[in-house]
Amino acid sequence: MTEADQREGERFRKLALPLLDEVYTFARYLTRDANEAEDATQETYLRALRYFSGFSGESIKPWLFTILRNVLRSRDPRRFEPLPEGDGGEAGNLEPLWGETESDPEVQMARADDARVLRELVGRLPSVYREALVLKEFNDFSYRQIAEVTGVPIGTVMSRLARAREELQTAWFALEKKAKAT
Amino acid sequence: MTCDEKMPLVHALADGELDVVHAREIEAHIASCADCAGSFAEIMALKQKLASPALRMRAPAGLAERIMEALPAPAAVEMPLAHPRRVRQGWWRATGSSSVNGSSSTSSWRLRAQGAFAGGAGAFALAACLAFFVMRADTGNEIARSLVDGHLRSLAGEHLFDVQSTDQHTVKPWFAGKLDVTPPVPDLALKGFTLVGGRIDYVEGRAAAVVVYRRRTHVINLFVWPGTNLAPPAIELSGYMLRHWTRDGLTFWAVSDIAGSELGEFVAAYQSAT
Repeated sequence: MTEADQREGERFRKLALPLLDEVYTFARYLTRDANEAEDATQETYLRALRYFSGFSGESIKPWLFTILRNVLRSRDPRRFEPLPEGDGGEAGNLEPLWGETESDPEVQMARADDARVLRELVGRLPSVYREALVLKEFNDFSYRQIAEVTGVPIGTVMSRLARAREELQTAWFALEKKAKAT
Repeated sequence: MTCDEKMPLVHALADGELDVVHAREIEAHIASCADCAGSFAEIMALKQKLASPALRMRAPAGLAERIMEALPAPAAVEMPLAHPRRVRQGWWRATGSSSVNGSSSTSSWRLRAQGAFAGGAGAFALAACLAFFVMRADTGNEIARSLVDGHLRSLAGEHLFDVQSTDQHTVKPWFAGKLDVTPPVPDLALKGFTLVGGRIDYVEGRAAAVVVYRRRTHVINLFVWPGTNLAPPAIELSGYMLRHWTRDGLTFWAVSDIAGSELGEFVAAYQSAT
């Protein structure tokens, strides 16, 4: 073990490890599965460590997220394919969303557990909308950073974010209405 | 532009992504259009809901350990703690003492790592670490500290501008006669950097012209003074990015809290326009 290796290891630990919760959260929202998220996060960190000497940017978070996305895509090449217009989202593979029981948003809505409802509804967004939303709202990435991480033009980021929010709001209001009616 | 076409800009306003000119335009539209005002309010309410910590997750405990096992073993010697005053406030204080108490390097290392994860302090620990590293690297670099202080003063106090104008032909002449330097004041709006004004500031006791630009909601202070000194082209200090260059016998320092890559863009835009 050389001194340089140790220094790099130390630097990686100080920069990357404090972001573990955030990387894991991103992985959870993208995979909607606790085990897969944990696996993917671990692989992301191992890859990041391997390439860390080549990392020269100032901001490590977008770099880690980009690696995570590549990890997920290498496991499922179709994961980030935009959906054809008019497709009603990923309704076909909704279950299990989070590997939890009681994930039905209607049940949660009745219990007034807003956070769980929202988590569920975010999980149901098409993946390309979902990732734009999570990068913006959870990580406060700029449009430019989102464009870089997801590899699409800024205009596409803007329309995906708008669509994500519209779909979320529509789903939220529908549930609210239903909850009031019952 | 119809309201539908404006919608992405309403989102961008909510996200703080618009420059001053567009932000004013959309704000004015929202003030006069009930539909867009409603959409804007809904977006803001949704952002608020999504800010809930309950939507974030904690990584499973075993995960951090497994990742750390892959890291090179830490050096036996603890990092020198050059700033005891700062150290006392930070999470690494406990970790420093754990190694003093004679625990093996591996277990003290685990302890330190756990300290970093404890109590959701991840982001804080990261910021603290950065400050710590930078302080160690830049003890000789008083000028960066002085520039960041100037930047912070400009954000905290009233003194962001002596002259406030988005017009380069107002800002540039204002400097003439006040200083023995008149900095170039290019209009960089098309590159995404809005000129907002200028002021005179003092860096290490010397008067400097400061041209102020904005990127989205972020301020970029460009300090300019005559004379050139050796300094690194890029410094990060306490989370602020600094870029340094010289040209025609002038020293330039750009200071901001935008990402380093964006500040690099600013420097490139400024240099190519002057």
